[in-house]
Amino acid sequence: MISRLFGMRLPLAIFILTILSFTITGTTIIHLTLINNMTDENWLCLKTEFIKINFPKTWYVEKGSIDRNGKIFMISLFSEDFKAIVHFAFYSEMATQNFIKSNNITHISLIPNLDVQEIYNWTRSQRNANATLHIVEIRFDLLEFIENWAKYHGYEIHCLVINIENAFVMDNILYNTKGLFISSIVNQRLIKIIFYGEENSWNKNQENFKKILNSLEISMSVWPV
Amino acid sequence: MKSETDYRKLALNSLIGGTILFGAVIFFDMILFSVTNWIYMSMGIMGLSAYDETAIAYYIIKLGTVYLTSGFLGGLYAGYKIRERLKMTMAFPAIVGSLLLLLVVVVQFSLGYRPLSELDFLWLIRNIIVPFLMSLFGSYLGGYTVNWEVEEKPKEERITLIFK
Repeated sequence: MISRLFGMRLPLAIFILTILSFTITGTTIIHLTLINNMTDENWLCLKTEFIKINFPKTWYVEKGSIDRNGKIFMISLFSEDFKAIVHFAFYSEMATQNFIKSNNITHISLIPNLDVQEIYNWTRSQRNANATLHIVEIRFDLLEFIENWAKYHGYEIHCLVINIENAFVMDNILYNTKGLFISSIVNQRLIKIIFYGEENSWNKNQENFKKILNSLEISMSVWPV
Repeated sequence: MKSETDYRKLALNSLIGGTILFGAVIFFDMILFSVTNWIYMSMGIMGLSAYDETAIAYYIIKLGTVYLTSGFLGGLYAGYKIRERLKMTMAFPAIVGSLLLLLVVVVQFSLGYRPLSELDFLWLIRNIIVPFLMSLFGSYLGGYTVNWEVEEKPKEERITLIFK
């Protein structure tokens, strides 16, 4: 019987070899995932059952779904500095109906207001009670981009841009936040797009947001009903 | 009288071995999480967090570096202290350590830190059964490493012949 392997006691050698094989397998899978999903040097492509989206590879991503009174699929993309977020929520037909019913929404254009109010209330209760909300006019180039995007896909959209003054305090410095809230109903299914974050980071990441939005592809045929 | 002392020694060392395993799992888990995040951030590939394949890869690495290593450390201690009936006794540190980990999971569920909806058969296999088996394997490897009988090479003898 072999009592030593590579000059080590056999169980110790098996232990080291097992760790190495697990680590190498895991690292190889990570490497292959990276290679297979890169669209260019700095962007990755994420394909799920019904959407396809590109995003910077330095951004952190969280995705998941809630299945309560209809299915809601969500993706949140956090910028490199974690100060800006692009959030997508795709509602199934049933979830859309429940959302509209439970919030007494009479028109789709009211949905962005509802999201804004929710974020503002959260900011005041959790971050800074003295935060002030301003509804601001959307910049022409951004408006033009969103309108072109919606026109290309045939979506009727409603959007709102806000600015929250003194939204949060970090290292004794007060920061403002900015947000763009878009909602649309496609085939009786609600899509919410929120681009929100600290003012400087928000401005800096506008081009990324445009590129992300442009890359979004939805397969209506497999979108849950 | 002697057997009672043996059982007490076995129970005590299994408990200590299990505690070592439990502590090592928590420690190595934190280390692995921090190191992975650091690698992702410094390489600028945080976006990989989006893919299910990456989560599977992380799980495979975790099985080897966290559960197997922790089991090995627990087994190393227990094997060094017990030294008898290894086939049976090396299972105890893994059982004790896994029970402690299970207790933490139960507390997390009961306090609402984890949603009960994620609790299903696949979850049990991934988070309880496979980690336990890895710890068990590690524990045996640790115990047998200490008690492995190695054939020592006979010392070389130098013979000097002096011819006159």
